[in-house]
Amino acid sequence: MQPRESAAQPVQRDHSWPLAIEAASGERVGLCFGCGICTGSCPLASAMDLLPSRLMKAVQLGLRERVLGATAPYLCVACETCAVRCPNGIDVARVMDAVRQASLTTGRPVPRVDIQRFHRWFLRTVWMFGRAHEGLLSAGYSLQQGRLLQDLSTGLALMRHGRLALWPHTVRRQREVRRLFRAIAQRGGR
Amino acid sequence: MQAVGQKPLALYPGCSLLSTGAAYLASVRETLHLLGLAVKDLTDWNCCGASSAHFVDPELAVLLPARNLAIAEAMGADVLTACAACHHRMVQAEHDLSTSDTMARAAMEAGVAYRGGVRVRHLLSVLDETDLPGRIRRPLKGLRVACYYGCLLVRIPRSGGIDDPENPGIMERVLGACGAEVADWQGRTWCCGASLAATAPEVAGDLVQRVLVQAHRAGADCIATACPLCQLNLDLLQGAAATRAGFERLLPVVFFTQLTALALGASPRRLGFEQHLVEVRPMMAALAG
Ligand code: SF4
Ligand code: SF4
Repeated sequence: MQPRESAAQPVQRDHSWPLAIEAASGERVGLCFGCGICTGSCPLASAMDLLPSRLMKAVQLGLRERVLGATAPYLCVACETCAVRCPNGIDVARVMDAVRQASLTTGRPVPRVDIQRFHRWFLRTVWMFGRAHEGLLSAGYSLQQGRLLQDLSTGLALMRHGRLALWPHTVRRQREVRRLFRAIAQRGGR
Repeated sequence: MQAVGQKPLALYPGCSLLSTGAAYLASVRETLHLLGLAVKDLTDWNCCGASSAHFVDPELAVLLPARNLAIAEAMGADVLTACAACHHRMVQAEHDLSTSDTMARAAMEAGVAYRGGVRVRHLLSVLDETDLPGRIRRPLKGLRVACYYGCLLVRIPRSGGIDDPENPGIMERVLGACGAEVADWQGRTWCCGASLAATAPEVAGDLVQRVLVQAHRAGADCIATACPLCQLNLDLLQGAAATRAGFERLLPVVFFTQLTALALGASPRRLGFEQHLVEVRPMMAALAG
């Protein structure tokens, strides 16, 4: 999971943290017995720095720093393969969600800031129009990532095929949608 | 359709179907029209939050669909979905709202008056209950289709997807009823990489390639999807994947509704085939031949 810490540097464990993750995810993390079925099923496992079953164990052990620094929850696409197969009925994707959300709110450096930016751009367009705007999302994301030129050909190909609507589709009662975002912000979410 | 449930259905197109998935919406409408199913659009609907809402906040992931559910309730309708991701989010949200007091309260406090009881149905389920064989005007004879479910339609923990998560058969039944030959293949419920196509293209490209290898191996003429993002990824990333893997031909990736509409007699010109990046001409040739 992690190069073993030396005796001089005891592993920091936070035994109340698993409870916080259970509360946030609504999943019973303590039920995991480490069978590895989630890992064996995960299409992103080979790209992850902390395999799903290892992450579950690390949460159980309260290895908060290790888990919050992992990129795995950012690569998880919530395909739910783990969730429908876990013999203990744990929706691992929801645990991934909770861990990622925790890592986003603790003020640490975000493990995969590029992926965070993509989703923020998506939500920004929803905030603006009530509906996602794929053109603005791709342009904004590419620009922020400094890869506008590389991504331009893809955008142009889509446009040539009539697949990128430029004009936004807006919700008429847009204030209702903004109110949903504001409710989250007031609660201290993101 | 009204015969299916007690309530009429209101179509929730979702954002992608107004943009990259426009061919999906065109062919959904064409299919409904040719079946004589009068379905209104859900009024003033908003984005379901897709994979981005739950990325940052569990409540946002429920509140966004909740507003749509409330609109359906006010219309006295159930929701009809086509996009796999929208379907997934709406079903999850309905489940969370009806089982969690915290979520129900959060929705109320954010101005969403949803009391419950709206069903979210996917078009595949509706077509599966329709007498298709009697309506087919141009059977899809000679077309070997690899039905691709991807993740979100069949894997909805707790609420249940539209079919068995490990071995679904609903798309095969629907397209089989349209006269297509459906391939038995391994990649049906594998992941296409979703939004990693934008953020980690090497990773998504690899997943796309795995799916394509299996579809080629099964001798498919095309891949049929029910998700705008699956379609986009398999279409857009296919050229590079084919070069890496040395495929001799490219596989058209279509929406299952483009096939149902064709079989029901729609003109191909109304189904958005010009929007595909991988040419569909070989598929049309297989159909004609
Ligand atoms: S499948 Fe379930 S029990 Fe097995 S390791 Fe994964 S989370 Fe734990
Ligand atoms: S939901 Fe996430 S962790 Fe689970 S199998 Fe899919 S990508 Fe892996």
